[in-house]
Amino acid sequence: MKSGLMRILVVDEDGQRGEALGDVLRATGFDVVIAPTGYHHLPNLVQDTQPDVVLVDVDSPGRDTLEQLAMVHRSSPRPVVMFAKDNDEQTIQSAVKAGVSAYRVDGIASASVRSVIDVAIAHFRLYQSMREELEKARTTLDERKYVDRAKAFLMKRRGLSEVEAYGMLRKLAMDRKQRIGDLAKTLLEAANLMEGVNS
Amino acid sequence: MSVGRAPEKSSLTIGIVPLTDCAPIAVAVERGLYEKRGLDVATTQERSWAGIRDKVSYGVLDAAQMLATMPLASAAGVIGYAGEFVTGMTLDLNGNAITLSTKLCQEVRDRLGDDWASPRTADALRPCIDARRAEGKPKLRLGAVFPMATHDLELRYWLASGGIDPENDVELVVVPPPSMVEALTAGRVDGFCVGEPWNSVAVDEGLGEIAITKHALWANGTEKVLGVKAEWAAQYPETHLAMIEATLEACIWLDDPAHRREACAILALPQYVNVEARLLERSMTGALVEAKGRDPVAVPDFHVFHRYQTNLPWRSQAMWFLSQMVRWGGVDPSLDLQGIAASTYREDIYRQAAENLGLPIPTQGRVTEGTHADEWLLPSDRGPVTMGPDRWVDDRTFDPDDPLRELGPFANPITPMPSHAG
Repeated sequence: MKSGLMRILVVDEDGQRGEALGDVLRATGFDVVIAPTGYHHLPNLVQDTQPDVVLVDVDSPGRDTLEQLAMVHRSSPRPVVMFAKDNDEQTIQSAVKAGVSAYRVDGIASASVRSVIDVAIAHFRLYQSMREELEKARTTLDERKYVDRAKAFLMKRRGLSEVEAYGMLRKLAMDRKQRIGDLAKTLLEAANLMEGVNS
Repeated sequence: MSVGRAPEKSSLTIGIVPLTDCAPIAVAVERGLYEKRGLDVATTQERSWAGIRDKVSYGVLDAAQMLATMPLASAAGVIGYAGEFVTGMTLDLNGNAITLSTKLCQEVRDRLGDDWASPRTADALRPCIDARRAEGKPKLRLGAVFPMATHDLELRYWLASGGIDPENDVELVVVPPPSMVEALTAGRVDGFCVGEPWNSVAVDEGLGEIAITKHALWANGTEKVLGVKAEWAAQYPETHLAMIEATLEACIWLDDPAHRREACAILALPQYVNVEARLLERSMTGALVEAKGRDPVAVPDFHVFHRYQTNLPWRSQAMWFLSQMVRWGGVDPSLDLQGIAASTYREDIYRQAAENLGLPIPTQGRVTEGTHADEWLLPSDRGPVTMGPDRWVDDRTFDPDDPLRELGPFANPITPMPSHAG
């Protein structure tokens, strides 16, 4: 006999995001199963773990195998259906835009499923903004690295001081309406190409 | 070329799947054909058909390279399908093949005692199926990419035409297109029906042999369509037309044999198919290698993008897909199937685009399918146009006005068939 908790299967190519979503859902009072990555386990995993709801990363290549479960409704005792019926339209739209799709077992009340999906949407959005922050931080770091190398290159080749080298890079970037990091990168690539310089 | 009104929406995202038949969209982007019509198009590489469906359905994508069956299955309420899609243009014909593992092909040849010459019919699998049953071994497992997809229907058709019951004699499983080869490597499937280049990739790695092409199974059957949401089509009619016209120009360009290698260089890019051009060239130039080490065979119509009136969304082909979905229990036969075909395969939109480009428009959008072994002529507003052969491997014919008359062997509809004339 199953416990009274609703069981959620989480399928996410981004393992870290999936694990974290699992933690949030467990803390909210759900029974959670995290799918190992790789598409081919999914139909068996669903049969074995009997989830009430499946949350799946919208870009997971394994998604199509879940559709098969929705189709074999005649032989499956627990048909899985796409969570998208009239009054759920708004919820599912937000979900897909946030990058998560949901399937539920036929017969589970949509209100309880909606609360699960709301948690998932919030989680996916949070992850997205964290990823963007990280990306921004990484770009800044990369830029600094290129600028430093381009400065060193100019100091060595043109006998400039550090301040002069930086000033030259900044002026070139402004003239070309480029970011200084991009300009420094282009300059280094060109230098590499012309002289086989390794910085 | 007539100058249409400005597109209501100029910035578009079109979803593609890494398959050779994303070519019309890729070519339209790379040759600046969308740009010429004031459209700024970005493509995204999607990893599943469910993803394509959901993203078009909920506005993440404006349009997509879509399975020809998808708008029909959605309108028919096939379980798992959401959204209401329409298409104003078919992207290509043929394009798929059924590949079986090298091991299974060897087993077939051993049991038959001959070389199983092509086109290969599925009855040759019977001894292998019976042997597995007698020995209590698992059934043969065959993969298709999506339930009720063109590939699924074609695989089932091939099996059933050879006396193999697809529901009971074998196990059908879903495998995403780019994972097919890996599934064959790992022995999780014994064969599959998939679009190119995945058959040629399996052949090149010595893992499989192409048993039959879609062209040999069903000559010049519709494969992918340019799909949008019905609501989107109504909201952005000029954008829709401009997008179709640009994609049509790409299809015309693609059907010039002199352009096929250049097209392969485009498709090989990471954002499209991301497979070496030499493998893409096999099906694209019609020099198909069916098994590793064998000489290429000529299949000039493996990919058809424009000739034979490809791009008209043929009502008769829509009806055939629906009849096959009824056959395998995906679609309820009591539904208004003609109405579903008419509302999703939007011949009127295609006619408008074709007129704007000065292309001939056939006087009818439905024909009795399966009656032509060779090229034939159909009247159009600009004189007769050449149509391709349209025969099936088992020589059946299909009347779109009486689509449920004869569903074929092993038919298993979900509800009793309605009575009908004849």
